[in-house]
Amino acid sequence: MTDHDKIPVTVLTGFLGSGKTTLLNRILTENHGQRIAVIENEFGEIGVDQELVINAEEEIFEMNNGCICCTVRGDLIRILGSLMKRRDRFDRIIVETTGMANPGPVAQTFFVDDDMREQFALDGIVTMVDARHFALHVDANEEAREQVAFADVIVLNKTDLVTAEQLDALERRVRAMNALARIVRADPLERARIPMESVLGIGGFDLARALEHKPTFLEPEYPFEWVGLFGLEAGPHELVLENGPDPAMGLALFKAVGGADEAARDAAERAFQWFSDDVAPIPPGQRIVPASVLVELDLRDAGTKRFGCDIAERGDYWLATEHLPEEFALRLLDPRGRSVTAQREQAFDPGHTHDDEISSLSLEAEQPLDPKKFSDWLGRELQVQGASIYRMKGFLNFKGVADRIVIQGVHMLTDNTSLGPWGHRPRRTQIVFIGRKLDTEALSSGFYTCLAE
Amino acid sequence: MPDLLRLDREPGQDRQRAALRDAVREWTGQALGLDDTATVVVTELACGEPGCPPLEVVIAVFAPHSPRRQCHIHCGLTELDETRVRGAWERNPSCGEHTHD
Repeated sequence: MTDHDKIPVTVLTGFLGSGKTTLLNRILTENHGQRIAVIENEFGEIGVDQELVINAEEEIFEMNNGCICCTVRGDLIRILGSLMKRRDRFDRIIVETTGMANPGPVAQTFFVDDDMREQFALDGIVTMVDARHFALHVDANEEAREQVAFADVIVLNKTDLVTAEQLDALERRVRAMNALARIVRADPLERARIPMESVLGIGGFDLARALEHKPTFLEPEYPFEWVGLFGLEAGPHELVLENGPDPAMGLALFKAVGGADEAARDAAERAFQWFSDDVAPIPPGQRIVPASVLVELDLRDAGTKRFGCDIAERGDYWLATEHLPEEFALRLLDPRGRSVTAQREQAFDPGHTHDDEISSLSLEAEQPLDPKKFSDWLGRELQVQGASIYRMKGFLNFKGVADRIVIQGVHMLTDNTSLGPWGHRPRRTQIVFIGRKLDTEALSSGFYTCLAE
Repeated sequence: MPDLLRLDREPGQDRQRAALRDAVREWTGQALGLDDTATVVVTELACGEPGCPPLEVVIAVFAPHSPRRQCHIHCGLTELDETRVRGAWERNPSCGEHTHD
């Protein structure tokens, strides 16, 4: 059976009142052409109007007493077994959990044995977050933290109840707990309204996208969130910013060393030292010149703010900004007023405190892995740390294996499959662990002993 | 250490294991008198805890309106045969369980 033949399963989690049922009803009424079987753990206040709705009573099954890594949901196994006898009546399954449910056993149910893995594909865990009450929930409940940590997609819902600044802060906190998930903000005018493609059919594509474009967890914490490389001609340029979340923002504009080939991390390391300088903010209308210094922009005025930017010679320049450019709709205009796009860019995690004890670790290697060493190491590590590792995902580059291997796991259970040849993609291993109090030292040091000789 | 990734497992081996799981389900069904409404899960688990066997097979039976039954056999899936499966169910429906303190 190929991955295309498997039945995709979406697990919908979220704390009480976060809007799970509202989203579920949206999914069911959206015109996506899919027949959906719904497994519900509770009948909420809002009914679900659907032909194939099955009510389940949470039944925790410890396959190996006391081992949370081997804990699955017996009720789901019963229902899935029964649903398979009606396979022709639906195309997809959505499991809506109770607000207090730990997503671990639900997710593990789909990894628990080979037959389950052959018939079902865990398409994604979607976690609804009540933007207004999330802090309250997450501070008081382990389940709320786990729901975020396990998620592939996190929907920030009820966004009409918080300010833009509060929403940004919420997104940062959520991002700090789960570096890999796609974070989607629901429409503030219509709760739980989000693009359906952001929650259905996400599968491996989302993993590729996340790993290739958002590896912020790879980086050390910098006092800035973004660097971008620009090829600029000589002449007067302009930095244009709109209203944003901060009345001031630090940035550095500096020449790339060795031209366009300089790595973003090298540029970030150079900029790091300047950002500790104490400088006076400059008001809009002032001019900036490329230099190894921090510039603090005064952004208190409402509306569009423009700063001159004098480039003496044509070349490659880095711009490091304290906030993400999109937060201020930042644009760099050339002497003819055209917007210049960054040739390369990298976002970094802002300096945050890991008060939630839940974090992500990403490991990466260009050198191929030895399959036997890696398999043995991962097996040992999952036995030791499996209870702490909520999710694991990654692409594996093995010596002697032509294909790109994708791996994902929940606690101690893993599944891997071939995505076909690497093709034009650079062969590189990237693996991410999301968990609680991870022993990152052990994971990092062990991982690099698996490199092939 | 069992091969976690199963990269070098030939397709024939997967088919052999799938056939074995089907057989274990059938032997279980016969031993317990199950009909086709029951779901039988056959899982091979590795356990690294001191004193635990390196591999065990957990067979769990989920039948409508019945309590779950489970059976642990301390060996790998490929070491199972009809005698061991039937014997395990006949001895005790929750036989061979081990616990983690």
